[in-house]
Amino acid sequence: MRQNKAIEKIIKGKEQRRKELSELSFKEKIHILVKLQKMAEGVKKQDKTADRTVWHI
Amino acid sequence: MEKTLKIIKELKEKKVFKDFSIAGGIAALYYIEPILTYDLDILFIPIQDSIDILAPIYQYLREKGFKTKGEHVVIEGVPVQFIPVYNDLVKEAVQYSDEVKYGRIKTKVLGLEYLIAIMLQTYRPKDRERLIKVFEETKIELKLLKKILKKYGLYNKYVQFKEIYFETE
Repeated sequence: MRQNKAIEKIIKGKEQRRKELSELSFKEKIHILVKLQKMAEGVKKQDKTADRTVWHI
Repeated sequence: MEKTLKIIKELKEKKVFKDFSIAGGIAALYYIEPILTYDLDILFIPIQDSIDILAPIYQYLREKGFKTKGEHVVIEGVPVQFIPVYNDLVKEAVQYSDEVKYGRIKTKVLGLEYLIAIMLQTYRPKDRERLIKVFEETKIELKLLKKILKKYGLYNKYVQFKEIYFETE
């Protein structure tokens, strides 16, 4: 039971974080996007590299 | 990105196309939490119908020194894909898109309700994924959304989507 409550709290926290992120400015979101592209660069599949490049902005 | 958006705006000012709007993953990102995407989709209304509708855009950008990469033109470091409006819903979505600011640049993004309608129409796995986030994270004008969906025969699909991914409201 206590475990369920803890999980509920974690899920609620994640939902809240997503909501906060959705409210960032367009510019801030694009900065995060470029960070995501950089992070994904290290894990992308070899055959998918051609059209998946990090934006140079 | 500001420089990219400035060049795209210039295409409208120079009458290379009639109108445009940011669509796809970047339009979704405007409304929801940041999601991973690699290109900037631009829907555009051409000046006139022709066999090669993209030619004037490519020519203008080539003259400016921008290079193509596959189906994209890389404008100031951002791969941009230009997509002509391909049906009445998409054309209306571009016409009624929202003017938004990115830094000091004014640009246009598909309105949220039109974006939802287009995602319901295309309905690829990534559209469904984005739709879930849209319904969880944004405030939707339901009256407008329903009006658009009914006009374009998408209302039943919307109801079905909500039944599958959300408990009935």
